[in-house]
Amino acid sequence: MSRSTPPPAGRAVQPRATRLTKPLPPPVRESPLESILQQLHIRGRRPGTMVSASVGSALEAIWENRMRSLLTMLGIFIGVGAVIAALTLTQGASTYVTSRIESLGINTIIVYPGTSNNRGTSQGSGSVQTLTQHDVQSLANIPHVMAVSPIITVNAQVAYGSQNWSTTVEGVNTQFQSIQGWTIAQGLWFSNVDDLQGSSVALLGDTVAHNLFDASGANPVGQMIRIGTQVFRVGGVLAAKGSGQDDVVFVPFNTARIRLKNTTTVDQILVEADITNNVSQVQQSVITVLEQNHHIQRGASDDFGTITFVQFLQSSQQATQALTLLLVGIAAISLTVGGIGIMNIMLVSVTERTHEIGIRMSIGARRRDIRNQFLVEALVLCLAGAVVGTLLGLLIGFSVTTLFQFPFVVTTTTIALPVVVSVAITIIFGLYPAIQASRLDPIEALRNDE
Amino acid sequence: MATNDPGLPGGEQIIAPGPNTPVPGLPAVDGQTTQPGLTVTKPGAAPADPAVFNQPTVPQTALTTVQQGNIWGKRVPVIAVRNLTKTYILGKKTRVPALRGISLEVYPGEFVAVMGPSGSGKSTFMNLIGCLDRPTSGEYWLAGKLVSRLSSDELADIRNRLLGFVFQGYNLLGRASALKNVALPMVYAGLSARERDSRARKVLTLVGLGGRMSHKPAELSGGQQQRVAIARALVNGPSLLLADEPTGNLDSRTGVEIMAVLQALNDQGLTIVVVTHDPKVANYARRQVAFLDGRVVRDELVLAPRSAQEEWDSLAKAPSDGVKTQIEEELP
Repeated sequence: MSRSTPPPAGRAVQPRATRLTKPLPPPVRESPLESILQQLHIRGRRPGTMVSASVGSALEAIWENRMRSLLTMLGIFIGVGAVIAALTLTQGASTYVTSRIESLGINTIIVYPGTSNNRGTSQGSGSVQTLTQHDVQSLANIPHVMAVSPIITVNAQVAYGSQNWSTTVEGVNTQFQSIQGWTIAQGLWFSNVDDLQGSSVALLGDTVAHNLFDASGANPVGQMIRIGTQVFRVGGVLAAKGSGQDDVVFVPFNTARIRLKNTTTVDQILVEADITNNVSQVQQSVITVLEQNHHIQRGASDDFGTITFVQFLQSSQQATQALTLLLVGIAAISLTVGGIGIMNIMLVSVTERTHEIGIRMSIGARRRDIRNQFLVEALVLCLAGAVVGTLLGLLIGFSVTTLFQFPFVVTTTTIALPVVVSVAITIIFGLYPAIQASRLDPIEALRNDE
Repeated sequence: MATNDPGLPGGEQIIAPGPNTPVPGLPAVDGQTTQPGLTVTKPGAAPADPAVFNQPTVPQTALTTVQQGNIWGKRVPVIAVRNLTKTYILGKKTRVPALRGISLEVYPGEFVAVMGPSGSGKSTFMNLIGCLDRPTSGEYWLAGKLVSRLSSDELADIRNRLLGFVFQGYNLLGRASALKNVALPMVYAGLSARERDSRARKVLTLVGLGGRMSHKPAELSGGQQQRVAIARALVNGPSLLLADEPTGNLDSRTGVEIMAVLQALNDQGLTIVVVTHDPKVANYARRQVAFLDGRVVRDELVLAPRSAQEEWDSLAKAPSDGVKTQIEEELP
């Protein structure tokens, strides 16, 4: 390898012997290139460098085929977007329904008059008035009952000055406020005395107050209004509860019974249990007590019904779950289709880049390096699609929930679920092309020259 | 080139190669690296250091490979193959023997040309010593390691660390710059991005492409692409450079240029095996091994290898048009 000092020109032959007699100590024998090569010679392998290099080459390859990559990403993009939109929507709806039910009082049991059964023909709920004030008093004595309120409902025209408003007027007692959790914006709730005396005092829901008093700008409290033909004094205005509950006027129960409806029966009874866990127990007691009061024989059908919001809540949650499952199922199908799209493109990519695979193998790429390169490429495609899809899904979810005035709820699951699923799908579908690429014979691959 | 001392015994230069120190015998980077051939001898300009670049070949009168082995007895052969055979199985009963028992040793610093017509088994041999394939039988020791029975991943590591490939078609990644192409083997070696970059720059400078690092293969001439390929082959400090028809896609002028680079590398101690069917290319080597029908039919030292550098110098003086024919006429 080492050459002797040459004469400046020509190819003069120098006797070999001269060279051989020379001592060749190792440092002299090593040429600069050899020492460079020795410096360059690779000994260890640092883990982790492959990953960043794979991501880099994946980005290059994706950029190389921008249009194709974009279309491939679209599958995952739509899938992830659909899942997220579906989840935010159902979660928003569920939160809305739950909060509405809770605002009505989650511990509340509603007792309503039953159907009369006239020769086998059901007459519909409330067709007979079976609930009485006596029932209300009996129910108040049941253990775990916090509050009981009868309700009389009248639809009436309410007027102040020239302003008219048709609304629901409910005659309730003083406990009603706590049962439904009403807060008062101005004035006071009527007293037990008002109820006993049948005073003409009314509490206006937010909607009613606005409709009657916004035009004149007068302070509603203390003003005289007309309900039907009767004159009432406005005792207070209720704070808005939202979700359509504010179009209501509350008056004392006895006032409504005598002056608005002239009846001895009760339209509904609200019973509030002390804690949620006792609701069904209280409900049973209510049924037992009322069956006794109404002399219902064993086995005969009741002339009243009870309903609790716990049941509402459960059934609404079941409905939401079913809806979520349906939507997520559809979205999962679109994600799978997206995964197949990625597999398809990766197969094309492997075929197209066989020569490149050969080159990489010839310079020392191991099978797993090639496999990981294509897997990383598929994952980069997927994640890019997933990120854009997440943004789109959130945007759609936000717009639709805003449109329906649902709360916009985003949980970790909302985002993590579709992203994790799409990554899993990509690994499942991307593994086959990647393994195909890694199993190529380097000689064959090198021969595949465009 | 001031560091080079032609008067040193044995023509050896002891230079601590810093990142920007040009290796004697290889083109310097001086901002004019687009010069064809080895840049130090620019056409029309006086050779900067004729003592280095116009070295005559070492006479190898009475030497045989065996004697070489004895001379550098402490040195392990780079390649040692014993009874290497390769039989391709086509279909159920057709067996095509491509290699029928090759035994060969290549010692450090040798420049071997493996010759033979197509079908002689030289490509199969190249694939085997390039660790791209495994022999049917026989042993292959590469730099003291028995590699003939390694798994494909272990072979990949060998290709990565002990071998450098130079192909006829350059085999560069089209979308990557010269720098990235050269850095690629270091990716698989697991070097950090920073180290990859600095090493790739160093080696590209070494082959005279210091000014074209960010060019993509399509923006480089054939000769420049082949230099990138050579840089890529060198970048992990291989024990052996394997060149498969390295001048096959080049015109003869550029071919001479590339052979000059290879010779210069060999002068600095790099072991090179060139596979070629072209006797002219083989004449640049110091030893020729001829294959025919899967056997070695001739294994001899070249008494007076051609010096590609000298030929390039004379070509540089010739007019550049009609280059090919002139070369054919001028060179024996």
